[in-house]
Amino acid sequence: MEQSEAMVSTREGQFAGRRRLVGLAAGVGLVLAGCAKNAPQDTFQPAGSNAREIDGLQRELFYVSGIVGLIVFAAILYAIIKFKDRGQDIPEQSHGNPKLEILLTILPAIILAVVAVPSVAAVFKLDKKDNDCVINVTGQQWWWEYDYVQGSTCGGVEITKSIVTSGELVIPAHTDVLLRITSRDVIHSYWIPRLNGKRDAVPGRLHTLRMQADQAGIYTGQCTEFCGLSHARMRQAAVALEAADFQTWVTNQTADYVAPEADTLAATGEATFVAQCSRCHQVNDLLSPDGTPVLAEPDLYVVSGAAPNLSKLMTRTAFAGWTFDLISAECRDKLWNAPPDEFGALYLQGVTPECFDEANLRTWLRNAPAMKPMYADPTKLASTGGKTRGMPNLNLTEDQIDELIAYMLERK
Amino acid sequence: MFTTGSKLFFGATALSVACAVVFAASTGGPTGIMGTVGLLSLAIVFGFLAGINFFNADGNVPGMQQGAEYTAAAAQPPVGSSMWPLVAAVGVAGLVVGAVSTPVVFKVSIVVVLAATAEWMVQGWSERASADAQYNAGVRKRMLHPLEFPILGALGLGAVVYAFSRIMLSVDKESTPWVFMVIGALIAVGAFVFAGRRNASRSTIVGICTVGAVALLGAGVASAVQGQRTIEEHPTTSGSALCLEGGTEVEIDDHASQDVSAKSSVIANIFLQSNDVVIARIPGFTDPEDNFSTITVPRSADVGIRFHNDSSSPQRITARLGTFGDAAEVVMCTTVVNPGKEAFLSFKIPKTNAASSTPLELVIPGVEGQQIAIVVP
Amino acid sequence: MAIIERPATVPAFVGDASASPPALVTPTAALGAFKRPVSTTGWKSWVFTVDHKKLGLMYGAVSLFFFLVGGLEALLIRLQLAAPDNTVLSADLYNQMFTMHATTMVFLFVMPMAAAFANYFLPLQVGARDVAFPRINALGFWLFLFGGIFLNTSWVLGGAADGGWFMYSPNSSPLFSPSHGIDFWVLGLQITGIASLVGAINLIVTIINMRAPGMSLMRMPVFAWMQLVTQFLLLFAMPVITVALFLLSFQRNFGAAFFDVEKGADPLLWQHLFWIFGHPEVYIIILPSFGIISEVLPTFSRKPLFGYKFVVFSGAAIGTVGWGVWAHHMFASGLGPVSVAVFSAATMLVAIPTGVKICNWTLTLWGGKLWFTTAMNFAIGVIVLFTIGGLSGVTHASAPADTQQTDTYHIVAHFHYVIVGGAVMGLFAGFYYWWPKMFGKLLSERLGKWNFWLMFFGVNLTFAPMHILGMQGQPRRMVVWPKKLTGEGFFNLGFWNQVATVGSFTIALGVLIFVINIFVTAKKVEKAPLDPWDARTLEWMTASPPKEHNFDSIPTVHALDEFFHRKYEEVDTEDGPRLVRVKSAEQILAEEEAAGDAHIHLPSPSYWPIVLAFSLPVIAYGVIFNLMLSVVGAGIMILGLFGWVLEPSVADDSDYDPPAEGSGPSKELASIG
Repeated sequence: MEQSEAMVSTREGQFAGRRRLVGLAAGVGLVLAGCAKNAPQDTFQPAGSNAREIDGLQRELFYVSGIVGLIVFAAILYAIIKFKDRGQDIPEQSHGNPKLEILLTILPAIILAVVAVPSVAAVFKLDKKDNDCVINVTGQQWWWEYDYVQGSTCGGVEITKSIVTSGELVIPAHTDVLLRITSRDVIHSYWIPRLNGKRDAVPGRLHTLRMQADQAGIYTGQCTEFCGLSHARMRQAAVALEAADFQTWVTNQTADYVAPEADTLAATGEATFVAQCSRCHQVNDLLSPDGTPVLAEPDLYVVSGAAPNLSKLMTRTAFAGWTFDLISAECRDKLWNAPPDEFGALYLQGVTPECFDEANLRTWLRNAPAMKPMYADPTKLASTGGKTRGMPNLNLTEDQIDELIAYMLERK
Repeated sequence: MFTTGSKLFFGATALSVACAVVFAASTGGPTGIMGTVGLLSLAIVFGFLAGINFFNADGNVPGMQQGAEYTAAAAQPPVGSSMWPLVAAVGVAGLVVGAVSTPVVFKVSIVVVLAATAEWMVQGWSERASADAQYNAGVRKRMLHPLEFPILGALGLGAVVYAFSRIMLSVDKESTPWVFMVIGALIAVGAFVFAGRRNASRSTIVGICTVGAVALLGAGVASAVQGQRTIEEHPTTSGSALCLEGGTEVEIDDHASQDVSAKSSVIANIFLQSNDVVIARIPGFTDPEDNFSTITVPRSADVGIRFHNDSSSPQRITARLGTFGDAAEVVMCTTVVNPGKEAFLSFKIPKTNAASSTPLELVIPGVEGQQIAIVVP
Repeated sequence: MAIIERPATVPAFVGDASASPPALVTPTAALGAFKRPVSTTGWKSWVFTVDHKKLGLMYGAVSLFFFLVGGLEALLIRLQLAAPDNTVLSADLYNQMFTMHATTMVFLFVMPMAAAFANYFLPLQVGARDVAFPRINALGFWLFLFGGIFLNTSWVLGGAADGGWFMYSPNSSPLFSPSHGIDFWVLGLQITGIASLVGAINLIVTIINMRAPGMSLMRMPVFAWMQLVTQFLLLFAMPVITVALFLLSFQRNFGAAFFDVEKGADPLLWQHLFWIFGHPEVYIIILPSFGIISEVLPTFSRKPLFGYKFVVFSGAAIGTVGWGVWAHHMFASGLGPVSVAVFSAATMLVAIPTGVKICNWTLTLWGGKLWFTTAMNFAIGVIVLFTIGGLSGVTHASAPADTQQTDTYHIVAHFHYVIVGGAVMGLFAGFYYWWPKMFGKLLSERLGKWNFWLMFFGVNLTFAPMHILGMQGQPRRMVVWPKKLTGEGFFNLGFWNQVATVGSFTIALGVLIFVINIFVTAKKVEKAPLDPWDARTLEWMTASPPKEHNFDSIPTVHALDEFFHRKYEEVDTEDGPRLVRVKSAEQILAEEEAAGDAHIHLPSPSYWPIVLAFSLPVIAYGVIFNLMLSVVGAGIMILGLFGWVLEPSVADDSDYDPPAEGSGPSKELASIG
């Protein structure tokens, strides 16, 4: 891989001196060879203009650092070999050489100026805000919510109705997308390494971050500001789609609610959903048996006051902070490795029955806090006035779980 | 051997313990515990003092010791004057006055009497600690300075803060910055002078400080007597009747939204234009054509908006944040904003607007037909 | 022979002098309830000591213990991360573990260990008999010990702090961290903070006022200089964290709303406060080790430090510029491009004085006569590892690059190279260099080499792979990493995680060998030579271990590296001038003893520092569990304060055991304790 070769030479800068120092070229050779291939969150594999800008700068910094390191280590190595005590006289007690000192002060200053100028330039370049799509991103313990602003256009596609989704950020490829990031509880940080650097989601503040993807594909990321108990299980992905595919996706997301056919398991599931889940989770346009709209009120039950919108759960590939897969490992590998021109079609299939990883969802519904650590033990919620952080164990029966899964499978 | 001084302290210790027992038996609840612990602490302190006194053998040198007639404290010439009888007397007088007038005087007098008693006792004891008057003075200092300095320091600081705050509250609003700067400058100049003239006599410095302190306290007391200037309430939160009317306050605060970080992170800027048209500009939508009449706000998140009054009359912005269930409509507004000025309003909407029986919108009271709809998906 | 003498405690006799001797009421008797302790042996001689050397040793022993605790926490973290979706630690426990690992290592190991060296060697290096405020020095140690114990009792009292050592708000509020862990953390750090603050004042006053005659500031050893800069940094940084901790404490315990967004606060306030303290803290951690290796390198190169003035001024420059770079910890926080650009450029400025130091150390080796003892190995190890850490630091001084690197393992790699490779290895150089001075015995060099190489390899094995982990997308503070994000190939991120775990155990083995070395050395009978390293500075001009009063006569200083210049003189030979040894260390010591001062006045031990220090954790437990306990603590504190001010300034003669028959004048035998 190209990027791993670049890594090799950069690493060499950092470690070559030590290698000679300890005389263990073989051992360190392993380090040098050592980048994972196709790591999904590799910052050395930028997939968009913003990340590429950073990558260029980063490489320059690694080269400069590497070369400086090499020179320093070579000097040390030479000194410790050459000036080893071999019975020579005690050296002259000289206190230094001011001219050399001044030179050695100015030299690093110049080198740093050389790296400082492009760094500062890049800061302003990356702060540009012009875009063809704005998406609101809201973090909370421990998942991300996205909402596509009603009445705006995104990559030329009109958003006629608010789209609220979570975990997977679907964006049009080749388009500058501006994320408006905030938080509902603690500080989080939004990071899709192959598209751009991080930006913190701070409650009460709105920060922007621009993303652009060169081609269709899925780019994973994680919350990177420590946000409490399940910080490690707060993940996300950006999915870039070609324009036509993105149009299809938007159309599907804004489509009307389709109730399950009567007398199916899914229809029972709808009733179970209304009874058990709709307190917190919204399914758009869902009506209760008496005809009134079912509106989730997570503000009464959850500290952050929000829970993922499940209207189109099965268009996403993972759930619960994008931690647990909805699709099987083979299907996931196939999707992740799909060539750009096939990716869109594959992604838009959503969770198909053959790909559906039922075990994950089932375990989750059985006892969510056992699967992902959350503050949901009803006996320990004194500090929050009874509200949970994360999903509590609902003590569902196996029958109820069957019904819910049947109902959920149709939410796509 | 029980010396004279220690008998007093042992007595006081016993009395405190007895009081604690009585108090504990008679008073229950947190007050009882607090009081009992307090009285026991008092007992510990008295016991502590008694112990010191006891072990120090006071000045009661056994008569058989040779030379005792020269060295016994009683043989020493009387020491200088003491201010404590006077202070104690004032305190007792204050007790009487306080008992018939205000409780505050009574409480302060209790403290004065206690302080004077403690000081008097320690001074009396220390003057008989040894034959060396200078040493005795040192003993008194070591006993009492650890208490005197922090307490006097805190009192002094409190007096300065209180006096200064009264002055600042009574002078009118335009002069406050000047008063603040002048006093600050005076202090700085004084400090420079002191620093520059290291050999200035002690009395000069003490004199200047005293004059300054008296002036500050005098001005503070005078200001307190004069009372505060009228200070307007600026309703910026919910529930104000003013929010839905166009009325104005007497005084308008143009500095109500100087928070840089708040400005840099608002969810929308709302402009009341000169033609009385209201538009929203949403950060991120950079096209100048993007003048929105709708803003989208995530539910349950604290968000801020900034209101720019570009019209020709003072106006405020009011957020009608919905009526959920049986509760009253949630309404919040900014203070009235002068033409050309801005104000900041932050709010949090817990539920989607579909759950509200009234529309969620931003309105300018008095400007008809102009509103920014709020969408909470 | 030095005569230890206390001032007369008998007051001027009042009255008729011709009368028969009166029964004197002496001043000490007047306050007889508070005698000063006089023990010179047994536990009392340690618990009530005010001797800077004993306190230094206790600082060292306790820090070393906390080093083992912090290391154990690190091993548990690495075990948890050795495999994907591992279950060694629960998420909750893991969060506590990394919070306490950082807190322990920073506040309970590196800082107090540097304080241990400062306590022990600063007075010796500047030719003083003790620090300026000996009782405050003792107070500092006991506060540190009790603070550290208090902090760690949280493990068994409902769980330790779980917000990370940076404790970002609002995640640190009771809503999001309901256990008492963060309360323990806040109050524990307040207590150790007081220790640092009083220590800083004490050492600054000692350095400024108590240097030996002739020792101008520019003749002062670099270690003393770096400690001076460190103590000034502490003096200004501790108040900031104290304020921040008070705000947090009031928010958690008394319902204040300093960081509460709903009430209009901005949580970034905490980040600013924390990092205005936190960044200077980095230099507080590293500068003492810079000082140590600036002593070790010249000694074993047999030549003075290259560019002494440049090293001193670059240290001071780091201490100054270090205040203007705090926001580089917040490049992703959304500060806005102007602040980010300014702080990015300022951060790069810090690299200049740091680079100067590295160049100077390298040039100190250049042309020397290098003697590779274990101390020297560690010192050279510091140069190498710190250079790696410094250079990776430059890569995230650049703000755009930092937005990719921050909060990933790349940063973990960076600061561990700096702290373990720089600060900790420097402290180890200090152990090996000064051990014979402190205990009169040399640490085993054979075990020392094992210790060094294991640690050196271990550090690289643990932290070098973390550069790769971070750059390829593994964030920090993750209790688990999933297999699906590790990439392909043999050298995937899972492999590097395992390498790092192996490395961490290699470091642990190195540390274990050090501990073994301590015990082996303690059992050894063989004494170290008086001047085993042919050293250069004043602390080597006295006995090993030094006498209680440090120097029999306070040396007069004529040059930088005074001791060296007393041993060696330049002699003209046929081949030009040559350095020739003119005196041995034993001769110099004998000269000093012969010229010993007649009146040496040392402070007496005191009961009260430990009592006063003990009151603070009691108050702190009260704040957490029941305010009544705080009232008791306040009582103890008042007792301690009064004891402190009321005790006599020295122990009375009659407090000491009478001298044995025929052993000469009592004053010679009287303990100076």
